[in-house]
Amino acid sequence: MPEFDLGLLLKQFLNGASFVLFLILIAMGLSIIFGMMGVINMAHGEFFMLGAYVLLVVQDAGGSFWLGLFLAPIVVAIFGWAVERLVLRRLYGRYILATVLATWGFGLILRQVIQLIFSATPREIVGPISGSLHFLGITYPAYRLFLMGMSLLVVLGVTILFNKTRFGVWARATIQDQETASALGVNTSRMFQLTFALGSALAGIAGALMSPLISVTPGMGIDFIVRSFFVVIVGGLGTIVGVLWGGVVVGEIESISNIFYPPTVSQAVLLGVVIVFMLLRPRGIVGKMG
Amino acid sequence: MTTCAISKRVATFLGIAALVIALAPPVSQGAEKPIRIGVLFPLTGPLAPAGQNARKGIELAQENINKKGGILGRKVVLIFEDDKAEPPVAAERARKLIGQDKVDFVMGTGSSATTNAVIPVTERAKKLFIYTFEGEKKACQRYVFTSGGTPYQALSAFVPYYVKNFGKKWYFVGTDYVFPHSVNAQVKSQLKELGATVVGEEYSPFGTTEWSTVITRVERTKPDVLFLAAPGTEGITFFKQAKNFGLDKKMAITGYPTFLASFYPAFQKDVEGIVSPELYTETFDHPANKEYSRLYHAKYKTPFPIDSLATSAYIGLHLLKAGVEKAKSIDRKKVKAALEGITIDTPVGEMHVRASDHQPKMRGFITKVINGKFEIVAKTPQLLDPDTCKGRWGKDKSALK
Repeated sequence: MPEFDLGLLLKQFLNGASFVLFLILIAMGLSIIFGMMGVINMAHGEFFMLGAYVLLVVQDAGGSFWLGLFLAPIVVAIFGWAVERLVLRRLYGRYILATVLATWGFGLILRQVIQLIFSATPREIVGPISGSLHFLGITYPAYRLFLMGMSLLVVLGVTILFNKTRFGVWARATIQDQETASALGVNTSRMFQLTFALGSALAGIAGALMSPLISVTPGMGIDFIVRSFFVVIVGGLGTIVGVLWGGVVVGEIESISNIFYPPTVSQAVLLGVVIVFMLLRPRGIVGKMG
Repeated sequence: MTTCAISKRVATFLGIAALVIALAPPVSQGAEKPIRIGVLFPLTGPLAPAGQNARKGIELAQENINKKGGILGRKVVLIFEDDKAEPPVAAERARKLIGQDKVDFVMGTGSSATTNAVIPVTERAKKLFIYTFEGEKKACQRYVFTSGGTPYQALSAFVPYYVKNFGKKWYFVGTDYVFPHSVNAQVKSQLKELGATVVGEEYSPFGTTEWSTVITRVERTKPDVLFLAAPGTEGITFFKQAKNFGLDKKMAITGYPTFLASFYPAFQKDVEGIVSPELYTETFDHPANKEYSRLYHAKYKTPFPIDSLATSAYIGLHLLKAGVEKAKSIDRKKVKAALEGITIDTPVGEMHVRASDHQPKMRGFITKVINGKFEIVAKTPQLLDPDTCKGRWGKDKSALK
């Protein structure tokens, strides 16, 4: 065990906090789509990947990181919207596995199409900020701090959207009672379109933001989707507060046990805790019991 | 209504089946019949980047050989199957290639696990099999040959060089599966001989995306050298994050196979200046390599350097060609006898196939990335013996060196 060292403690705190915020950023879209629509979007990882590839295309064409970051959520939102219109719309009201299968299949297709176009070779995305910041006696990578800030912005933006806007009111009305909302003039079909596009856009922006820190390949979403599901399940299905709780629990368990054990062991620890958690609180931390 | 739908589906199926049969090429007769080679690569799944590169190499070899009149005047036909890097799939695809496609030879795969699954199939069907990947000690069988080197060949000259130039305290980070463990075991045994020390060693599962805690631990341990045995995604992600933390300014970072040219598209400027072991580099000044490099870039128009996986697949087909031409037959016993002890000229220079265990003797290179090119800083003066293969045949004393 490392001896007491304030700088190290702060650094490990930031390591844990950044991991938590990355997880929240990645899981947010998944949770919103589930919470609003009851759809488990198995293509979430592929939308995440698509966001990174939009950035790659912009970068290859000579565009800046910021342009790519701006375009990624837009392009992925259009994709998500198209999937909702063409496929998912026809499956609402059926057994939940129908949408699981449809989105899973769509994810597979998307991954292979990207591999056909860009090949399976891992690609590089150059981050816009290099170097480190010095503060409180430690140095920490600037881009990681930027990512943490962006994640907080996304959480803030989504919270405002659902609590302070007309879209939010309609959205909450649709969740509570679709028929009544519809009778009162809310276009619920449109709400579903917008929600799926929003969830997709969040996946896209997460992929673009994470891409300078990871290996960009057609299969990159797979490594992230598993933890996203952990976050959503542990936190409680379909609420923003749930995502925050899930991110904190999943991220901190893995980060803290990573300090003391090799990564292989700490991932096993995480899985064990998630399983026990599921047994004790199947609806997650903020989920209503019963 | 239901019956109508079903019969419609059956009709569609029959229609498609008829179309497939009608469009299938007629089986050609006579001596000009092409030589059919079944190729198993992981074209999708986690090893897809490696499999796709290997496919490029072998297709280039096919084109090159066919343009020059084929093998014994017969055209070479490659039939690809995707083994998905899964042993049961590899075995099943190998059976399909042999039983259904009637291939004369089998080549390929992307890992020891899939190779070990394919070998029993080719042995039972009496087919010669050429393994085209570099990897740890390989399975020995009488009818199995190898065109790729082993970590031993890549590392034996590299480790002493790196200790001499960069220091004696080494820290190991790897992905948690067989290959990185065996690479690190190789390096560690060399370090012991050199009087260097291992100050840390840890492995992380496949798919690890967050490395900050490990990076902080490595930083605190203050090694001279950080050695990464993490191929592909994990190694790339680790190095990007480590660079972000400025780890590369505090210690020398190298690794195998993390920094192979295969992964250059994911690193680019980030690996400028990295010194690492390679079994192939495009900058090797050799006529066969110049020709290979020219053909490759003409066909694939890629700005990235050619890697050793494409090259060992390219060499594999040329090795088979040399064997068949020397044997003047595609009979597997004759080809086996012809290949034993053969020396061929390849893009990596001269390569000699040991008669005892069918493994190639070849050079190892130490490269440094300068302006995006893997420039040679040192190479082994003579061909290196690989470590011996393992398996039933390998235990036979006469098969060992």
